[in-house]
Amino acid sequence: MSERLIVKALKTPEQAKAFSDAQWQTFLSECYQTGLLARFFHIFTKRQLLQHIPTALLWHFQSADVVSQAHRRDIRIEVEHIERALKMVGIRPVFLKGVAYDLAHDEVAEGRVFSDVDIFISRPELDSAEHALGLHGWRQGKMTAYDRSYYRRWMHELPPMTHRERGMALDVHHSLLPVTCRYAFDAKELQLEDFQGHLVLALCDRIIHSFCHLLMESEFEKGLRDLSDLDLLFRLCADNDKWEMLLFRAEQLGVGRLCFYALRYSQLILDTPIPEAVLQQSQRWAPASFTLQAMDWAFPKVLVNASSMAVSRRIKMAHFVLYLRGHWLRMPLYLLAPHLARKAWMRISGRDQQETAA
Amino acid sequence: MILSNYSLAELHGKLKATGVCFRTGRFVSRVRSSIENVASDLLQIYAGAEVCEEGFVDFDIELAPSGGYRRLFKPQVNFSFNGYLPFQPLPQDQSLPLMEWGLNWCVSNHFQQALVIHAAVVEKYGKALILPGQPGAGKSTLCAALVSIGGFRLLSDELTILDCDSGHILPNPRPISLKNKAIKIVAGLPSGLNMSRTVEDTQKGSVALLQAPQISLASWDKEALPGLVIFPRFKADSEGGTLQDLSKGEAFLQLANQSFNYPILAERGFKAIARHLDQAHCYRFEYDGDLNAAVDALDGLMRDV
Repeated sequence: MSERLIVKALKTPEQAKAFSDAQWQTFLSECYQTGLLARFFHIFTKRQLLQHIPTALLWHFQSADVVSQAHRRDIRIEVEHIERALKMVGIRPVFLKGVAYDLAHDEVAEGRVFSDVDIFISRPELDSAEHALGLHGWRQGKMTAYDRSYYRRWMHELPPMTHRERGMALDVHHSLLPVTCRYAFDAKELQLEDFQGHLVLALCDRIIHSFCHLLMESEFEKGLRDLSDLDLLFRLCADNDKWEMLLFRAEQLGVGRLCFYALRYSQLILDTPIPEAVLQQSQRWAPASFTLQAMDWAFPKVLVNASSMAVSRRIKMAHFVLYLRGHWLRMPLYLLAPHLARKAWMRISGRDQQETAA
Repeated sequence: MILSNYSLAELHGKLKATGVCFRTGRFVSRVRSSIENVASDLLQIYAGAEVCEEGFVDFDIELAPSGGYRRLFKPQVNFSFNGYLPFQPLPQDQSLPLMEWGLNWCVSNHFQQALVIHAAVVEKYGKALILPGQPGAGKSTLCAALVSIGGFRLLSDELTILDCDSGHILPNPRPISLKNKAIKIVAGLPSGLNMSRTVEDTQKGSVALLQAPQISLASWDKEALPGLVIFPRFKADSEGGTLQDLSKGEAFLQLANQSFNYPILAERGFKAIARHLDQAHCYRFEYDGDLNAAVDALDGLMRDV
């Protein structure tokens, strides 16, 4: 299978110089499909390649950039609101994901889509944080009592909240990975950094959080975009100390296996510059050869091709395999089976709708 | 070359295979569809659209029959944009209105180079007449009348695009979407324009589309200067209609409220409206349904600005 243009351009943006008109057209579609239009606007600007985009198509990239910048501006305002609301109960939230990248001025914030704000609140502080956010206008969507308790008991976050007036979505995490998950680690061990008064995870923990999420997923609709984020995050490890620290933290938090996959596939798919020694060291977390073969077969297909776009049966199969894996990793079977059975019954009986309407 | 140069069979064949690229307003779309009546509908209301086989495509869309057991007894259609499905499927009979809503969605979600306002806009004497309005205010009926019998040029029936730097209107001429009672009224106007079949029972009631005049299509890139902003309201007992001055402050807020991307453009959006209103006159306009009288009144106002 020939490599997709979008992957070529992520690896070596200069390749776009040689795109034919028809290739630019295909590339535009791929950018829309993967949500990477704004990211490429940033990459092309930085590498002074903007003039190679055909004039007629330039507006697509510019518009995506306008949206990305606008969201970035909006989430900065949101950060202030959230901090103010939580100050009342003496809690300092830790910002995660996109907001954290923005606050820390990481390059990965450029051209990213900021759809919501993610914060981390430690378990003991959860109730008072929820109360304070409620007073300041954040509301949880309607859901059944079962779903509500499921979120609290087994998930790593509260049901998503939305601000009554501003409509901005807020995800409150009380753990970085689902509590039931095989790689769950104690959130008390997280390392933080302070950027101009805002708390975010320290760089290595930001990277770890990013790859844990990507590799624990069971759906990969925007897999390539997330992989591109990870690629840019890895590039922030400019010196050996940072790489050492990353490997050390991955070991400490017990996510070595995921770290191995992240380094492997980021390098394999996007040519991320990772020192040979780091790859070597991460080998100690490699799975048994049969599993590795399966992952090597599935991940490169799934991360590059969204399942909704896939026509090839092999890609669909790869998605299915990783879908099962994702669920398997997040929940042991004795929890997963009753959960899925219950969800299915509620959907068939229409009870989920009755309960949410009530 | 225009779309009506194709025979029905040719067009259907092309839509089914590689798709057909043609101009939909300011933008070029590639439309694919294996659904039979899409071809005949397009030949009605996009008859004069320029076929763009060479060059780039802005919106790559498809109207595809949706899968599943439903297709056997109640065939449905999905709108997709580069493979992404922004809407729920609709009955296949509604493919044409779905395509129009989809194309509006493409513009209002992806085009941030200018302010996009939910309003009809026409041009005469080089100046624009913007008609914002809540659904049911009669903006499309009025717009169709101005275009059919008033000699106005259609710039857009749904999406008024304001250039942020100049405050000028960027045309986006596409078919006019008519709903319920308006369909019969407009069908009675001597416009010489094709009207699509009426599609019943959509989310918005019955819908029919009126072809955009050839002159509008040909001058899709000719901007219009600020002229009038009219907030229309259909009121049967307003006898002869009334015109009322509207403060620019109020007009500003209404336009900002009706904009899709005002929150995204922020300051640039503010400037776009401000620049436009600096040079435009604003009125509230109630009309009693006598379209000839309404068109005359608005024409008179246009002459004066």
